Amino acid sequence: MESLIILIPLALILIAVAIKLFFWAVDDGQFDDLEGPAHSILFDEPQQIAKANAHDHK
Amino acid sequence: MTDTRCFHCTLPVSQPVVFFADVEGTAQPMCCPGCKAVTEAIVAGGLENYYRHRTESANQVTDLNQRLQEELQIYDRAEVQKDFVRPADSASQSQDNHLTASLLIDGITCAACIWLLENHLEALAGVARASVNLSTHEAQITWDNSEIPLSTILLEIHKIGYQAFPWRADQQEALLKNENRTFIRRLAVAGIGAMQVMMYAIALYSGAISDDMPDIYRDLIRIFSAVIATPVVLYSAAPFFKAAWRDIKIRHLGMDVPVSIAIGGAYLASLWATFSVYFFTDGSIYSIAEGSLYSTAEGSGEVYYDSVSMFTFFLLTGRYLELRARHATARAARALTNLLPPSCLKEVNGHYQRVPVADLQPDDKVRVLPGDAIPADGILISGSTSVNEAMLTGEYLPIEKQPGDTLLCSSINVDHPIELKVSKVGEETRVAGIIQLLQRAQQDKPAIAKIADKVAGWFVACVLLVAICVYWGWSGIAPQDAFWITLSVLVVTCPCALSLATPAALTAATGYLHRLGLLVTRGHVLEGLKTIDHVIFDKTGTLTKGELSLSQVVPLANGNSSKEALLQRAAALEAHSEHPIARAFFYTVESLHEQAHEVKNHLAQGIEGTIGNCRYRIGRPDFACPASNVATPEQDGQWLLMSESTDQKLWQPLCWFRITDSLRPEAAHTIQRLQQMGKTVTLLSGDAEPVVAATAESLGIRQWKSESSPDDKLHYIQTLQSQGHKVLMVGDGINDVPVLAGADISMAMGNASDLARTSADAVLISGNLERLADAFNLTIRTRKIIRQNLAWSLGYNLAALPLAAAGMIAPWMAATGMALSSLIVVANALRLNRPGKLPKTPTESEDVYAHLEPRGAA
Repeated sequence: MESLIILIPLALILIAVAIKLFFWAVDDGQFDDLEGPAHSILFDEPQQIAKANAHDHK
Repeated sequence: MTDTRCFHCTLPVSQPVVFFADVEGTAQPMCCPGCKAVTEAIVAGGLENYYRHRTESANQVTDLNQRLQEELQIYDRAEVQKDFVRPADSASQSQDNHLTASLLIDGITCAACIWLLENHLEALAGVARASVNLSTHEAQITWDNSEIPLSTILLEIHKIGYQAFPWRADQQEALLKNENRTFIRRLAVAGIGAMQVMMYAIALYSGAISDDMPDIYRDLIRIFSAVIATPVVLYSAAPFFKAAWRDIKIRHLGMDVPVSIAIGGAYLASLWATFSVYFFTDGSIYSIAEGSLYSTAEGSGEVYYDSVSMFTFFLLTGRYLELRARHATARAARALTNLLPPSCLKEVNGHYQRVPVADLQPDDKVRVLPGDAIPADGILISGSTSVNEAMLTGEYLPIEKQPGDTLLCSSINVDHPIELKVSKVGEETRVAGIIQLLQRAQQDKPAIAKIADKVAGWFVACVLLVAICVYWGWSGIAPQDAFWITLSVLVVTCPCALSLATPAALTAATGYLHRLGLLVTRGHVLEGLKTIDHVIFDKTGTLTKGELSLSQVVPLANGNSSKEALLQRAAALEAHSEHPIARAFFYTVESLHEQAHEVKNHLAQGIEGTIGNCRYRIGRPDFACPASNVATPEQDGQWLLMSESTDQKLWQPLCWFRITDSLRPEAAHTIQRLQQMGKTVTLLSGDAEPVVAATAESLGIRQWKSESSPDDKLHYIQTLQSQGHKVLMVGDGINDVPVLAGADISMAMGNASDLARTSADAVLISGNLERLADAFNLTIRTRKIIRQNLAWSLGYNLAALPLAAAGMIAPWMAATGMALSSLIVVANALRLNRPGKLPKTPTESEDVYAHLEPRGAA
């Protein structure tokens, strides 16, 4: 139980850090578009393959 | 009937398919040269993946023409650019030519569009960076001005099927952004705080139940809970306190008042419980009095930090979803007003020069080409033409104009180039007048009070009264317990389930409707729909698609050509016209096998031209066949006559073509459903009587009114309202704006003018009228859920209240019960989100083209 005396304040510091990070992300505009980036990750990979194929044909 | 659909825009394509584009080795059908060009541009850029990933079809593409290029070149001018272009970030100082522009992109339907735009633009030489925001449709483009002009970039955007406009992030936009960010921050603080405090609460509760937790740890956990809950209450819950304060000042017990009392009261009591020990006991007593649920006078009481944080988080989540829907429409609405106005040709020193419309002054001379919008109110000084005033009057057929006639701003010049003298600009124009009418109507709008707010007002008053009584009673019996019992009464009756009951159901229903393509922008829509007994439709653009199409071909006996051949010839002639009627022909012919020569446009009469060695005329019967009086096959609808002549004197009538504004495929079914629900459906239109009557008849509408001006329409619904009816208005044009604002609930079509969209309470994004009937259905379900929720939360509160008042419920039990009842309410509301019972709607191809004979024959 004694460990609580250290762990609880530690948790508090972690929360403060988490909120700080979150605020930074908000100010950075990372929450301005909640839909686009989630999809964009899907697009790029096949594009690379298509390019690679094009090179093969040359 | 055909099932082939355009690969790009997924609109039906007539058989046989004429346009093909090669995509990944397969020839894909295309509906028009525009889509073909776009698809080829996309494929040429190596961006075929767009078609694989998109979830929504693209918009049909309009042709790129010379005028567009000229217009875009205006944006290359420095004085025009100063509003939306700024130097690129100083990170790359060496390149002074780098600029960044904010653009608003029109036509974005899904995430694949973003990818397509970004990749296509970044592949251009000179473009350093392009990023597009899917939520706001805003694009930031950084480019090297010495390598590529902005107009070329804009043109490239047009080439792949989108439209780009300059976007000036004004003060209001900055406010929206700020509001959004602040809200996310509040949510984050509440969410993270609630998570942490609830973890501590578990420790506290298990300690309280087993009663073996050393007090020092209990106090430690409580103090840290207080530290975490403080920012949640002071920062995250601040909007509730502010709103409650506002409510109290105007002497109205709104939902925010009980919410604030619950959050504030529980928080302050918890603080008291946590810290009073140190003030009254010199820090020496750490014991709970035995035999009592409550601690004795110097004891510590219970803490509710977990409930406070969780409650704040739940409520904020609901409000955030509401905020986002509100912002989405606010942006869409302001998009137009913020744009640089389109350009016009103004006479400067004897030459016509393209200038932004904002530069116009009264008495300027302006030249308007066919297809252009008229930039200001004015007088026609030379040339005669016909003008489409559909935006203002709803009349979709062009009106003839002669020199000396008045031309209205934002109507479209159809036939010939004209010159006009500007008489009124900007605020003084007729369009601006309609906007003022709108503002007046909006102010008159009856506010539909919110159910929950009403219930809450009484509820709060009762709870406060009971709490006071309980305190007074217990201070006589057991003064040391009075405060804690009163508090457990307040917690047990905490109206959180009650205050969540309505918003949770509304949020779920709104979200579900949004997924179906109906965007609800004002809170009262779902509650108000149930009272609606009159549904009023505008015709053009609402029940109809607002574009002319060919609905019937009737060859006359004296001709011996086949229907297809006649249609071919008509299309060959119409291919030389910009008139809306001509477009009806364009879409029905597979390709032009014949070409018309020596084509002459006769204003407001028709077209004349040579095909082969015969002269043909198509247009009004008295024009096509001046000598004889041929009767139209039927009374209603607009009929065009085609005739031929070998000597240009004697005209032989050949064939009748009937032109109508095509009805939306789902319109009839929707109206039937609405009538089955017991709603009175009325058709209000600015069009001529025969057309309106025919439309009403074909849709089964019994009440209709034709040739109504915006004022007439407004008057009509006000009369209904004065008789105690509740009116829902569905419309699209600027002419509908005042009546949209005056109706109890208004709904605009997705392709409506932006002004109509702003003034409407809901926007039918999908353009599918069937969703309107679905919304009514959903309202019934929503109401049921809201009733269940209210019944449950009220029942729970009323059952628990006597127990708590009798001192039989420990505050921790009260808090758990409160949380559980909130969860039940939310879970119940989420049932609205379940898809399912909506009936299937007929697809476009089934109905629209079924009645179109040439296609069936082809």
